[in-house]
Order: sequence, then structure tokens, then C-alpha cells
Amino acid sequence: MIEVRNLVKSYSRDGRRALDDLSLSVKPGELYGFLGPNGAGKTTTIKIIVGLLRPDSGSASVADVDVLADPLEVKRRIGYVADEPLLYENMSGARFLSFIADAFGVPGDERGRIIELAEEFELRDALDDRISSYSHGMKQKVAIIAALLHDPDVFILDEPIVGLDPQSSFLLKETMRRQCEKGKTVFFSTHVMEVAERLCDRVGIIRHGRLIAEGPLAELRERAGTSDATLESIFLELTHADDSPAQS
Amino acid sequence: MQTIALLRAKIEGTTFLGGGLDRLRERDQLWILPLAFVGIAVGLAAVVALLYQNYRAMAALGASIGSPDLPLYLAVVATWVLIFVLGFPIALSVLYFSRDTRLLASLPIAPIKIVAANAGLLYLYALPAAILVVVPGLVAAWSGVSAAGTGLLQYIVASALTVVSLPLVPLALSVLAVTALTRAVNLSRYRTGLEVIGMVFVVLLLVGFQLLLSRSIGAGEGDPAAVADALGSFVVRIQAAVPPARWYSRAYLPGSFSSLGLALAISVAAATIALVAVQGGYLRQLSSQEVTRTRRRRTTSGRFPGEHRPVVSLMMRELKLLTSNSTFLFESVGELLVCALILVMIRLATPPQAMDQVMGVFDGSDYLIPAATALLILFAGINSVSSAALSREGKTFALSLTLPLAGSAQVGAKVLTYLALFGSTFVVNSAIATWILGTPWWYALVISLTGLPFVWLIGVTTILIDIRRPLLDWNHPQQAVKQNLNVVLGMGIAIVSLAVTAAPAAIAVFRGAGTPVVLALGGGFAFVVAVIATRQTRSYADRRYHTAFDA
Repeated sequence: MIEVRNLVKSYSRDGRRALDDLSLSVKPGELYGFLGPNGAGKTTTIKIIVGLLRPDSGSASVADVDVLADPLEVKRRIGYVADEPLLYENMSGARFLSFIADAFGVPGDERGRIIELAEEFELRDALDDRISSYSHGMKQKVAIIAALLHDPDVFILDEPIVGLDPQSSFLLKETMRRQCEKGKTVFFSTHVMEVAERLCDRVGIIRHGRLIAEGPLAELRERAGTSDATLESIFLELTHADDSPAQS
Repeated sequence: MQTIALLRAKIEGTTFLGGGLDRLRERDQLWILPLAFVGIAVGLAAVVALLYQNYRAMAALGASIGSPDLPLYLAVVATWVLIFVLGFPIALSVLYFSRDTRLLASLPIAPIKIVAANAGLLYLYALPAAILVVVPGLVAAWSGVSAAGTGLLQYIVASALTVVSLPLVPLALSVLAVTALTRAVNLSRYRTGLEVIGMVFVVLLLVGFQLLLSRSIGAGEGDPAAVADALGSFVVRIQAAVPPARWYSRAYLPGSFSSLGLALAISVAAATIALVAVQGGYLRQLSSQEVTRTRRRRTTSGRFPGEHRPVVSLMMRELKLLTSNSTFLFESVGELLVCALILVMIRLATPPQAMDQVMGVFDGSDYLIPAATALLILFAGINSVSSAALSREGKTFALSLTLPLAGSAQVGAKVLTYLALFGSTFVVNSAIATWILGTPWWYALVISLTGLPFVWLIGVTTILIDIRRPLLDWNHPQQAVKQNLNVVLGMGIAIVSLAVTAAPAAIAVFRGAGTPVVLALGGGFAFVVAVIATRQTRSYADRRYHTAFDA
């Protein structure tokens, strides 16, 4: 469902690469956790997949649609939650969600989802208030609801757990799981190892713009040579194994 | 912690002076500084020249009725009004919405010191405005007061003390007003409304002053002696209206220097009262703001905005962006109303006889309607609404890029919003201009039909500039408009677009073609160019959005 091939992206003029020949693949119905230290290239990868960034080279596609060739079609199929919620703070929650529904062409008879999702995320009573008065967690909930409104085939989340209270965090994890059970694909980045460990079908670990490990947890444990290693210990071992930054 | 140290920390931590230069250097944008300096210098020079001319006229008027300090009085009042009005939103921001408000409230610093440091920052913001407005008045008044016998030393000392102390009274008043309002109403909800009050106040003051002045002149019925008498009594009335300002201006007259003492005393007293009044309950006020932020939410009404076509929803989004903060709101409302306001002021302030004389000059001329149309087009075309159309989105522009809507659709909505606002305003302004010129009503229709294609064209071309390189990385809305090169470029583009597109019509005028031919030629050609420009802009927008702006 998500195919990333040989992505290269550099921000600085000195040629240092944020992404260095990155390739990965996520299948339909799979819940994929994207892990890595700060500055490893997680957000850059996600931004390229959702069409917010253009790679220097390489390709990315969602549901066999190339992101560069037909970004609008890709956006229609994706629900994206950014690391910092992208919201119009001057709008009320209801107005913002209606705007998103209009933009994605959600038919009127399907807009009951706004209420359903708002009730699910315990945001119903705040929908008439301006988003600027919301807490960070509430803003995150609005962004999640906005991403789910059009029932996307692919749900992409960048650090979604940050700022959520335990109940909402649990709810989000449930939602991600349910999406997968419906055959949808979920791709998310996180720092929280426990979440990735408990939730993901597969994880990918990125460092200095390169995928240094990928697979189900059991497979990673096998590679680490222990059957009881936690994802955290595997992650720490892998990310500290090679301290030299990747260069072009 | 000493108040001065706190003030220094505030300057470093919350203003452009603290790190702004470093940020520009990091982004290789130091070239902006000389450009901004030239732009600001040109703007200020124009304002100073305009003020100086007005003060000179007032000095001549004052001399003719035995009040050589009249320009000084007006300069003091103008400074106070300006600082009071500007002080309203700035005091609100600095005292209650500054980035460091929460931090300072959490530190063991006495409220009086926090308020004093904030007041110091407000004073530093207000002082340049005071210098700008009052110094041309001081210069213009010199010849009159020196002729009345005032010595140079008295003039210099009085000038220095005036400039330094002048911001205190209006700042104290605006701070007290803001504090009273914040304690009376829910700040978070009505913040923009509070800021609008200041703007409305100054507009009403200007219109009222013009009305008073024109009625005083009109009272003379054209007889110079009667006009002088009417003006004399008018001046006496307005000078009696604000005694503290009169104390300032009298200090420049021979033998009245001591009245400056009264003026200084009232300034210091006002500042002290404001400081004491604001610091009492200041922390409690900040705390109640926190409560407002985290209050229990009311149950939602259950009514949701209806389903709309994407273009309608995008247009509603544009309007929300324009009203999302006081900077965007003031800019757009000001640009929409300035032409109508000027036209109405001209109508109210010009005596009927004078208006008849002016119209007599143009009687039967083929230039009047095309020239009026061109002026109205420029008033509508020179705006920041179109030239910062993308920049205004700022960091939320990323959201636009995630929407499954083509660039042409998103930019199309911006063009339509601009046309809805400025096109309709242009039609209204055409009607007002027709009323002022005393021409038949259908002239408004002709001017509208001719001018609208130009307004459309200018809007599209200025939006095109912003699509090319939008300024999205801003933290304060002021940066999106005031520090946006696209807005400056847009002004130039508006003038060039009008000049180039109106060239065929101008040639027709000089070849002696009648007004109907000129207007039809101008409007028709502009329409064709606007259609082509719109197609090109939509196609360019599709490419830019498609490539995620090559981010």
C-alpha cells in the first residue's frame, strides 16, 4: 500500500542527507511503526509520502499512485496527522471539521461521522469553541478526527501519542488497530517503544536517514540474538551500534 | 530583580531586537534590512512632510488669530490620540498576551516590577511615534513663537521635556482602559473587538474634527474677516477642550514656561496612577485568564455548518484567515474603507462653493471620469489582501498542501474572495464618487463596469507574485504583511498593471476620443488581459501546489 524507493533528501547546502537511499514497503492491513532517534529522518519521510516535501531523488507511492505524479489522488486516499496539529485556530472545532469534510468531498449523509468521532474522542462538548482555546491534546484529537473523516485507505501519523491523555492515547491505539482490521494501512512514527512493541505488526528503525532494521518484533529479537529483548533494548543497541553519520 | 534588568530581558526575549538580527543572518536575509530601512524612511519622510505642511497651515492660522502656539497644541493632541489608539492593542499584547506572561507570573517578582517593566517597553514603543508626530509641529511653530518673543533656550528645553514626557498621559489612559476592559469582559473571546474599538474611535475623531473645521469655515460664508472670526472662536473652543495639552503648548509662549511644570506633573501623576492601578490585581487577572483558557466547556449546540462545495468552503476559510487576528483584520478593513472614508471626508469637509469651483474646472472635460476611474482602481488594487494571500496562511499552509484540492481551486477561491471584497467595494466607491462629483447616477455603473476588470487583473497578478514565493515562516501576523516583500512588490505591480493595461485607453484620450470610447477600450482590454492572466495564474498554481512548492 505504501512503497518508498531509494528516497534521498538533503536540506543543507553541504550535501548532508536527511534521507539517504531509504526504501520501505507497507502492505494493506498492516500497522507499521517507524522508529528512530531525533533528527533521524522520520518526519521527512512522512512529509514526502503525504506530498508536503519533494525528494531530491527516489519515489514514493500510495495505493500504486505515485506521489509526484498524482499528489491529489494520493491525498484523497490518505488521512494525515502531523507532529504539530495543522489547524485553523480561529475556527471552531465544528467549523474546521466541516471545512475538512468539504475539502475531501465527504457527502452530507456521511457527516454524522463528525459527531460519532467527536463523541468517541470526548470532544463533542468543545466543538463549538474556538480551536485556539483547546489544549494541545484536544487539538491533537481534532487533527485525528479530521484525518479520519473521509475514511482513508491509509492513515499516517507523525508522533501521534505526544500530548494525549492516557484515555485518548488508548483510544487512538484502538482506532489504529480497528483501521487495520478493516484492511486499511496505518503508518506512524513514535518515540514510545511500548506503543510500537504492543501495537505494530512490523517496525522500521531509521538512523541518519537510512533504514537500519525492519521486520516483526520477533524477527528483530532473533537478529539481536535474544528471545526476551525488549524493543527498547533492540532499538538502543541498533541506534548506538554505528555512531558515524551517514554521508553521501 | 531590578525593573531595568527585567525590561532588558523582555526586550531580548520578546522583541525583534533580541535575536532578530541573528535570525536574519542565519537565513541569509540581512539584505532585507537596507531595503526595509529605505522603505520605512520613504514612508516616514512622506508622513513627516504631510504633517509639517499641516502644522505650517495651522501656524499661519494661529498667527492670524493671535495663537502662535496653535500647531503645538494640535501636535500634542495628535500625538496623544495616536499613542492612545496605538497603545490600546499594544498594551493588551504587552501586559496580557506577551510570550513571557506565564513565565513572569511564575517567578518570585513583585507585580509592580513586572508592570513597570511592561510599561517601560510600552514607553519605548510609543516614544518614536511621539517624536514622529510632535517634532514637525515643534519645527513649524518656531517662527511663530519666536516672533512672539520666545527665546531659543526656552524653546529647546520645552521641546526636550515635551518629547520625553508626551507618551505618558496617553499610555497611562490606554493601559487603564485596557485593564478596566480586561477585568470586565472575557479577554480571550473579545480581544479583537477591544482592538477594533481603538480604530473606530480614531476614525470618529477624525471625521468629527473635519466636520467641526469645515462648519467653522462654512460659517464665514466666504467673507475673509468672518471666516477668521469663526476660526478664532473655533480655536479657542478646541484649546479649552484639553487643558493639559494647552499647558504644554503655552510653555512655548513668553512668560508662560511654568505651565510646562503643570503638564509634566499631570504626566507623571497619570503614569503613577496607571502603574499602581494596574499592578493591583495584575497577577489575579493573569490567573483568571488561565481559568478562562481551561474552563469547563459548554455543551455543543449540535448544529454543524452545512455541506458546501469546496470553493465556497475555501472562500469561507479565506474570510476566517482575514479575521483570525487584529493585524489582518485592521489591514483588510482599512484597505477596504480608506477610499470611501477619504471620499466622504472630502465631501463633508469641502464647502459647497469650493466644490462647485473645482467641478467648474473639469466641466465638459474628457479627463474627469477616466481619471476618477483610475484613482478608484488604484485604491482598490493597492492592498495586502491579494499580495499576501498565501503568506497569510503561514504555517497552516502545510494543511492546504495536504488537501486533495488542486492549486487552481485553492488560488481560485482566493481570487474570488478578493473580488467579492474589493470588487463590491469598488462598486460602492464608484457610487460615492458619483455623488461627490455630482454626475448622473449611471456614471457609477459605467465606472464600475470599466474598473472591475482592472481590479480583477490587479488582484490576480498580485496573487501570482505571492504564489511564486510566499512568506510562510512567520511567528507574528505583522511579519506576514509588514515585512512581506510581496506586499511592496504588489503595490508596484498594481501601478504597472494599471499603466500598461490602460495605455490603449490613454492613447485614445490624447487622440481626442470621447469618454465612452475611452472607457470601453480600457475596460474591454483589461477584461481580455484579466482572463488571460487568470488562466496563467491557475495553471501556475496547479504546478506550484503539485510540486509542494519545491519545499
